Amino acid sequence: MRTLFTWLWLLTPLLSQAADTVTTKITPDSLGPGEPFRMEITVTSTGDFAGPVLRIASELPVLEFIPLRFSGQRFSAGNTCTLLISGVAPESPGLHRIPGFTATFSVRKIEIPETRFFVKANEPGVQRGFAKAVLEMPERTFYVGETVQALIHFKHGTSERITGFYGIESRSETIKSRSTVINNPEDNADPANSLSSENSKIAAIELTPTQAGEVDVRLSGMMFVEMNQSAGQLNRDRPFSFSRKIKVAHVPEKNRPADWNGAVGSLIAGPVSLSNSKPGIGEPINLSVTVTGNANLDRILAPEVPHGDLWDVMPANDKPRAMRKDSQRTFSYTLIPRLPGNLKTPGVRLSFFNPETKAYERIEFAPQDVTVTGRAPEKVELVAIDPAATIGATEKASLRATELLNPTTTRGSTRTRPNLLAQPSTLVWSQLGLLGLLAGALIWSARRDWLHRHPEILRRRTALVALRKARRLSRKAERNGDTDAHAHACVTALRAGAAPLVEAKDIALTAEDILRAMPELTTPTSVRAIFRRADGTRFGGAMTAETLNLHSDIERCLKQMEERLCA
Amino acid sequence: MRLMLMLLAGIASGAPAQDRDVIAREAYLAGDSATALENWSALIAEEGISAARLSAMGNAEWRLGRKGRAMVCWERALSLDASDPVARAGIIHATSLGGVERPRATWQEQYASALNPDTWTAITLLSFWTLVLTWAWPRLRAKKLTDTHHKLLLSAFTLLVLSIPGAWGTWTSRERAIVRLTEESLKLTPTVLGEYLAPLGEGDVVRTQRHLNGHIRVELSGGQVGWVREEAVESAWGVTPPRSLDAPAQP
Repeated sequence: MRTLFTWLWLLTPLLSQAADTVTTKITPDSLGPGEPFRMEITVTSTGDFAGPVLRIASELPVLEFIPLRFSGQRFSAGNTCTLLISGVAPESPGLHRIPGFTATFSVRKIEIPETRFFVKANEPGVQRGFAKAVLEMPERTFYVGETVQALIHFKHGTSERITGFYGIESRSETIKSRSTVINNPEDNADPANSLSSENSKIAAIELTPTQAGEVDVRLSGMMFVEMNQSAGQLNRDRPFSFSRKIKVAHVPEKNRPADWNGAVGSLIAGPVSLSNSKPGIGEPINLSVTVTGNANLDRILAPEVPHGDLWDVMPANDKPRAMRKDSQRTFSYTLIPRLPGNLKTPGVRLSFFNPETKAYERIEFAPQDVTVTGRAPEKVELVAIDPAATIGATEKASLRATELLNPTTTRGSTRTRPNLLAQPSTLVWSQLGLLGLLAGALIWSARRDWLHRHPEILRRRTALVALRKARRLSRKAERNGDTDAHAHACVTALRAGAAPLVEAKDIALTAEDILRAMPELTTPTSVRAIFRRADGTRFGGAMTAETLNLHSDIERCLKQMEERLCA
Repeated sequence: MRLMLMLLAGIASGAPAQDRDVIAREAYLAGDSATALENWSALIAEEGISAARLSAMGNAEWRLGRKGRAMVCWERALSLDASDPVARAGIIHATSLGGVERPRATWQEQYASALNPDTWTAITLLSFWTLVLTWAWPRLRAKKLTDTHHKLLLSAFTLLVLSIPGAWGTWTSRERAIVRLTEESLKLTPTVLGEYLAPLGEGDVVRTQRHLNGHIRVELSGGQVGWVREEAVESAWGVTPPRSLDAPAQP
């Protein structure tokens, strides 16, 4: 029974009479060259609902002159689902079409029909241009593995300005892409001239063909467009896309050097550095060579440097991409000199295929002068290094000499702990840690003594803390409209602030004491009034005098006090 | 004689720990170094290592013709007890008659051999911290230095100055290793293709420097410097018996 229900549930979509109505609408109706538009796709299901859309962005056709982008906006009401797609009209006037495609909904796939729209030409004498992106690529045959730099120029329109871009990606399987340099000349440009096309933004993309033949380069992305309208400025995202066919070939096998390591492009030999120009014999040194240029630097294998009579060479190391410049690559070799004297480091050669000249070329790094100190190994007769020969056996006596002392008892104290210096790093770090602790304690002690010699600093610091606390309370009371609490907090703050100035207990200070300690206070009347209110509340019964209006005067006094305490 | 040795070996297999030492020494005196070695190794596994035990093992290894293992035992025995007479005699014997090369001790190392390595380290640390704390403690308590403090400072400083060469000698003697393989040679470069420089004998002691590409740069007793494979040498310091070359290396 359970299996039957499962089958019925699975066949439900087939059995039901689903009929979907798909309508598309382009807004605005009348489009100018390069004008952005919005395409509304409305899907209405009369049978079972097609459900929310699952995938559409990857299904949209990539067209050279009509960039499309699913904005992510969708509206569902009952059995109707509306999707909004933003696009840009082509520059050429006439009738254009957006081919049909498939949108994947949760229940089934729905075919979106072809959409046609008309682009009318600009009226004579009317200059109306929209912001646009232009792809610039070299016009030639490319090679597999080559790194091709494509530039996307973002050009402003007459009433629009491009402020940024994002999400540039390749949708071709046979092309690998990487956004590299983002050139933004407008950052230093004159703002008054910001709408001119000279100040356009540029994005650089690295494309690497991975397959020979005719390859379709499909790039898409989004740009931020700022529109100047009568109602003010309006910011919008706008898609752009490119679809361009390029020819890709394999690098020629004819005249290919044996040491070619996959480099395609134009390379220049950069600086050569040596870690030590005066090593001892057998002492390793580092030789670093740097190549620069416009080539597929990431794909180049390190040139091989063979062992020789003079040098032992260990395989090259390379810095990770994050630690080097984009247009540079450095190979480091460990060289070990085998003979003393004035030597030259082995030459490092790198062959590459230059697509411009369509020929293989080679760069060579100049050998470096090295002075190797030490003695040359003696020439040893082969018989002497016969592994079967017993070393020193001829002159020395046999192993059965009798000078060995007989062992005494081996009982006694034993240990498994290694010597203290067996792990020197542990010992050193523990001692440094203890020294650090001691240094910390001495600093603390010195500070304590200094504060002991200058007690006024501590008094002022304590007074400052009490003053700020009371000041906060006074502000809170003022906000709450609590006159009693406000007066009490103000008086507490004034007393706390003045106490270290007259070296007296704060609780014993009167308004006159405070005015004597701070003759520069600008509002003595307010000080007296607030004291009367506070003391009156405590000693003279209920007081009705309103002192909240004195808040700003007292605040000024407290600020003066705080500045004096901080001085 | 053989009967007696067999009896001793039979007893050794199930003997309690306190008897193993006697059995081992008797076997050694009887010329059965293998049985002696077996018992001393068992004692080390049961009770732990000591300088006397290592030096005794060194003697037995030497008699069995395993020069590398014998030198490791004696050097390690001296690193635990610098005055161990059996180890000292063994090394003198090996260098004078046994064909083993050992670098001449520097004056710091000779100075350091008066006490155990740990003793030098402890004296240096103790005198240093006495010096530092005697100076710092009154400051932490906001008091002035008294005469006692000054005497203590002077004593600690003197002790520190006297102990520094010992600690330094201990440090340099730590950087030594013993050649364990018989067919090993000193190479010019730390590679498989490294050019042959000089032969190395099993049991030779070398001063070690830095490591590169699975090799160690070493200095021989004659001052010659070159590279040798890491697995061909074993450190002169340690609290374990010499490693077995037959067993696979520990991960």
